[in-house]
Amino acid sequence: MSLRNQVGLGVALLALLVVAASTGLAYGWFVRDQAAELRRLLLEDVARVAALLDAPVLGAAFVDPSTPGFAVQVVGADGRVVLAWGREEPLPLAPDPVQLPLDGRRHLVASAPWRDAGGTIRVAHDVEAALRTRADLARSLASGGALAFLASTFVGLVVARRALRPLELVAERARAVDPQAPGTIAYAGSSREVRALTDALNATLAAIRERTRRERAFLLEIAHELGAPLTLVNYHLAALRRERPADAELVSAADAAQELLRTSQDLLVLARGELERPLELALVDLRDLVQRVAGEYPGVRCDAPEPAPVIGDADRLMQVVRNLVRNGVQAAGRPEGVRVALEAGADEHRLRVEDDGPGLDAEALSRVFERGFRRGQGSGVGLTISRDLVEKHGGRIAAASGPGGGARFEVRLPSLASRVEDDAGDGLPDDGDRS
Amino acid sequence: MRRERVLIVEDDARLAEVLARELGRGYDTVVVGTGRDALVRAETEPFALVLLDLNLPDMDGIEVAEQLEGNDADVVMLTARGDLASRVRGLYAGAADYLAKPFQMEELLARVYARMRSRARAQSGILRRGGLTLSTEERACVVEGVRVDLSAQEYHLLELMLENQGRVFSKDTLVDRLYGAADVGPNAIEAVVSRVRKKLDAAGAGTVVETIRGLGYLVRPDDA
Repeated sequence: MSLRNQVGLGVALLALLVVAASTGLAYGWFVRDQAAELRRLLLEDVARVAALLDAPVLGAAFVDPSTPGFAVQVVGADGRVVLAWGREEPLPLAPDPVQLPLDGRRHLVASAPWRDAGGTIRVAHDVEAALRTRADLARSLASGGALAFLASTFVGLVVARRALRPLELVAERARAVDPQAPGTIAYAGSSREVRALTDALNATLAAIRERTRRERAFLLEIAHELGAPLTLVNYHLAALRRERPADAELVSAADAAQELLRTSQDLLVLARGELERPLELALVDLRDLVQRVAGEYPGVRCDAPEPAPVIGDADRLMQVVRNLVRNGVQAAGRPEGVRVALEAGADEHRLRVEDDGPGLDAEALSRVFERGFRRGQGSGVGLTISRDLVEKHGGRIAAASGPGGGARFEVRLPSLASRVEDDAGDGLPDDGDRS
Repeated sequence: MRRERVLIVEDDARLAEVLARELGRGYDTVVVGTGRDALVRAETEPFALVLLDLNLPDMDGIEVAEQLEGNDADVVMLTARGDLASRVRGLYAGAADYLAKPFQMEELLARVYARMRSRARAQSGILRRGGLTLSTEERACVVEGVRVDLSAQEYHLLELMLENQGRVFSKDTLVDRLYGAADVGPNAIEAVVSRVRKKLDAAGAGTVVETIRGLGYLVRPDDA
């Protein structure tokens, strides 16, 4: 159950208890006082009647028989009614007042002995109206109590909601925190508890930030340390390789050095949060990139007959193409096993990189772009980076089984033509709003 | 022909030596190992390009880059930090490039040559695209031999985009470059682009400034 409902319900139950207790008490008091009053009046009347009957001159009209709801009888020792006002049928003997129905209306009856002859004076009061009042009171107390209960439940819920709203707000903001770059959660309200919570959350976020910053700084430090030597090793080995292309050991070392360079470039992209950096957009011909990458891996077959202009970040698209080709070369075990095909289309260009390596099964196909997925000797980040970059360019990337049993990666990128506004030349679209 | 001069700012002596050797094939090179030396040399001698490692022993490479802003030289930065490079590139807008270490020498050379080419274009005082010619010294725009009158903003926009043909300029970037701190919105840029288009179209230059949906504006180079 939500905290809001718990608080609301708690308030409602408390209200119910208070309302029930206070109305119950009020009703109880009223009933007790009313009963006592009715009884007192009756006994007073009995005493007054007795006094009158004992008086030397019996006033026949001391009771007006027409007074409704009032009856007096004098009953002899033999039980016969000697005198009666208001009612002929004998009233019961009631030394202590009793309540009983007479002619369908509730009456309070009391009697008192009269003279020594064993006779009695019996008096009846119609208390129907008084008792109805009591029922009315009970009803109005009950409905008032119910209303008060409903109102307090509602108020309780509203107040709870208002009081807890800042919590929801903080939760919302906490959910919105970017795990890559956790900021702080703002709370400007006055609730001390919510502020304490927000402060605690922010302290944790700050600790995470600090740790991430340190890790990144450390990685960058490593990158800096490795940057120059990797560049140099790669440079010298490449130069030696050009001089002695037949030296298998040298070629292998040069290949390894280049591999190391590319892998560390991928890792650095992740380390420095490069993926979050905005693209630097320009007109880029995918064919240039494909041909350049194919040139980096002699032996790769390249089929790119037409220019394929796109709007993109040249460095990053280059990295995509290079990662795919490199991945293929690794899977095939040799550059000759890789074929790159670029097909220029009207709305989108398609780049296919196929290899004749062992291929990917269904499970591998579904996970191939996940970070840490390894295919052969790859670092496990190249394909993840490629997918992110392709998607940032508004394109799509997919992996499938190739025709020769190997793997096929296909990248689709929107063409330049699909992104140019057709009516760009006439200047009208930019003027329309302001004319 | 006089050889262009390149200042190499790199504290790793071995790497600096290799860079000097490779760039020495086409340019005169000077190697320094500290930011302070770099600033002194750049202030007292003319360089076409500064190859700047942002990780320097004596001062923050970014500071060096910022102090070089008024300098005539283009800058190619070497750094592991892409975010810093973006900042400086924003500062120079078009006259700075960046490469992350480690890199292949071919990649670096390609960048340096590209910078030098665009520099040569800019220094010739003439910017061309199709039948359109901008003379940067006279701030004149000529289409097929006929002069087109442009306002200062219109000329500025065209010059910026012709200097950086192939680059996509967002409206925000253009606001920043044309109006600086002035409080104008992207509508102002739309208006300037629209007027430039009308004038060029009327002069017969065809579509020069194209709209890239949702991204900004582009001037295609002649060969694309």
